[in-house]
Amino acid sequence: MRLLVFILGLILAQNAMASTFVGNGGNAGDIEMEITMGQAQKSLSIVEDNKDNASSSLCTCSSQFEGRPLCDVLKKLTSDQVRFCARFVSMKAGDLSRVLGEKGALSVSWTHDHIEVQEEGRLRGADAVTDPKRMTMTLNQKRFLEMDQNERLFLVSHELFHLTTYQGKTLSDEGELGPFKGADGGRNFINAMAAAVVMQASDYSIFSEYRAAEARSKSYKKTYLSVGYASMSTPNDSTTSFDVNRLAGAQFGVRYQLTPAFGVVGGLSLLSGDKTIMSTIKAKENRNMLSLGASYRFFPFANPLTGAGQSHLVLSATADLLNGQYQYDEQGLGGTAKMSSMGLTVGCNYFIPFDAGLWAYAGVSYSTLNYSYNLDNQVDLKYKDNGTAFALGVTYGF
Amino acid sequence: MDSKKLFALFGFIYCSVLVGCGVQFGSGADDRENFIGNLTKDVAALTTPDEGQAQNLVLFDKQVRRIHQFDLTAMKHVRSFGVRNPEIPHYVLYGNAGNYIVDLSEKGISVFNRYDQVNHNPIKLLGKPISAAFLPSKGLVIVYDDLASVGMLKVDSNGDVVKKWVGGAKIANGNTIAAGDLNSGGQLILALSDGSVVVADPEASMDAKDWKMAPGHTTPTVTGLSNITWLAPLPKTPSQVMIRSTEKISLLDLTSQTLVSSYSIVDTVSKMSKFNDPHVVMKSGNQVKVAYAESSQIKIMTFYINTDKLEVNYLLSTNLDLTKKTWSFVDTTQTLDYWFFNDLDAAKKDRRFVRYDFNQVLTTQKFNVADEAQVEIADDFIFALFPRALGYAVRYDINTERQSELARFNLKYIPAD
Repeated sequence: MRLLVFILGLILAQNAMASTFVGNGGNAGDIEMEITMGQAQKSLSIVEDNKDNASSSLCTCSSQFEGRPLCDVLKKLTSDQVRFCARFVSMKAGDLSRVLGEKGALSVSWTHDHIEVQEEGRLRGADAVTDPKRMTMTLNQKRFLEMDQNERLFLVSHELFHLTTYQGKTLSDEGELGPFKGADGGRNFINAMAAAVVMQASDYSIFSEYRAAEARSKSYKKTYLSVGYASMSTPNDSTTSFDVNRLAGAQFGVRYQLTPAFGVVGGLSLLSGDKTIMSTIKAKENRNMLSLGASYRFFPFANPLTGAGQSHLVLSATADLLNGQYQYDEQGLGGTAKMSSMGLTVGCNYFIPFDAGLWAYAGVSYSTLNYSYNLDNQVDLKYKDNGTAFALGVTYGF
Repeated sequence: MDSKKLFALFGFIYCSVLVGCGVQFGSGADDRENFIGNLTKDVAALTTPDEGQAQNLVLFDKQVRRIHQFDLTAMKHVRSFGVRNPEIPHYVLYGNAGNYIVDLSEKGISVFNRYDQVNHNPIKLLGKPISAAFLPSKGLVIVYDDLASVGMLKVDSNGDVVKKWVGGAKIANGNTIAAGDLNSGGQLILALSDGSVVVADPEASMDAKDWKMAPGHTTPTVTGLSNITWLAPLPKTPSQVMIRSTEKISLLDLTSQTLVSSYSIVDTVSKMSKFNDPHVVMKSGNQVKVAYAESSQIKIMTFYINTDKLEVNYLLSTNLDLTKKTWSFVDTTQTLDYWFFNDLDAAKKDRRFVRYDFNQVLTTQKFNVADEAQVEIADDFIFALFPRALGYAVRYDINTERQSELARFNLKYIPAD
């Protein structure tokens, strides 16, 4: 009951928690945001580094993007607009890069709500909104995660340029700005600069630098399904030959992260072990263990963009329902016995990310085993020692 | 389960006069002559002439190295005893009336009484107990070891040892024991190294701690026989003894102290049996002769038997019941290097039970014996113990072919690993 209350508490607490990007990879989209920020910073740094001799190539379409919407943004530009765009990007790239590199300079937060901004007296839907005064950026998490990496970098870059000023005024999507005329001049200008950042990332292979991190399984996923192989050992009982000391078999598990740290876990272990007694008696035990409990997760390594940073330890405590069947046989002569019991398990599993949501895990657990089999009213086969289990498997997080 | 194929189906094989059915269990046992009673074995006789057919079977289970006692009527496991030095061979005798068990091994003798109390080593024999003469109705146990010592026990109706003594093999006139057995009167008849025969009184010997002859038998009977290797008192005529010597099968009358009948052996002696009525089986080609004593005569019955693949099938056990007029034997096509004395389990494959109407020389029953099972035979049924660590035995009623199983009786005795 206490366990159930604890689990319910975690579920309720989850709804009260804010979804703020804090850069530790624990929330959905955090990794993607880290990647996008990194891509933006590197692209802007390159622009900064090359501002004296490469500005002419800025705000033009790269061949890799030929025919794609991002190119359309740039192809519409006049030569004045290209020069203006390139000069402005070159001028602001250093500042933005430093903002991105400075911890805490920019606050990014997620929202699950639809974002609308007021433009020319009416509301317009948006994927993100930036407050230059507070240096905050708010993004629609769902939309962000639906985007590809080009679109994400474009969006973030667009928002970053809202932090910049032209002639003492922060850039706005509304109104004319320099050679960008018309009511949407500001938007077109910012879009052109954002597209330019994407082109830079592409031209300088910045995207490929993050390919591994992008593809790597991400720990912010909430649900994890596992299948593995487990082997449980118990100490030899010196008072009987019938105890089966090692059982192994399939292990199925599910974990739902209520928060980045806390979750609920369930599992089913189908273990089987056999033993030969006195050379001729074949003893076999099937032990099924249904588990339900809570888990605590922590990340031993810092950088969430690395495999080590994504790897994590999950400590769990579960209540177990055990069902078992014991069979012994000697050339057709033998019998069976059944048992049902409750137990407790504490365990620790280490999850290592693969790609595409897959993880490998290895773990150890310690279970209380307190049950007995009655063999033909002659032998009371008692299991009273605890079992130590080792497990290996794969997990899919989604 | 086809009982005819799976189980040994023997006719009744009475144990020989006064003794536990007697040979060592399993092939490779000592093939020896010159012993007292019958060779020891790890299953007690189901039938003794003085107590009749027992409904309890006692055996030393080689799987769990314990002694078990079974009630064959209810087909249940009655009790079990751990033994000292379980790793070595153990042999058992069972007294039905006193419900006691005598456990014999090279390292000692133990007697378990009816109250499950054990008396370890009431006597100490330094040799291996190779044979025993057993008369449960009088509580007499005579154990003979391979160093020629003779141990004697007198057991009361509860199975408690009340008398005991260990004597040497030298009996009279400097002669030593060649062979012997108890007769139904409780006298220990011993053939000596000079061919003479003496009749000892076991209880008096135990009282005196010295060999004492039975009243009326103070002097040895000179037989004129040489190298007596086997001696068998007749169960219904305790004053007569069938003797096998080098060249003869003779019948000695202890009252008159004369050989009343003799037969000169011309064939190969293949089996000497005390099962029920003592007899000697001789073979020559497909001619089988059974020598037995009846009406103070050594008589010969000749059988012409098709012996299948081998020139001579090897006899494992032979049983002659002159009261029921039957002769039964178990043979095998397996090659044995052990063949003088009855041992149903000297070979555990290709065994066959055959029973004859001895008057008509008419085959009345023929069955195959289950491979691998240890068997013991009573008048009406056989008991087959299969080599299962968990314990599995079957009682098979010969006449009705009904079978009763006893399973997993070793379960709680499986030793811890």
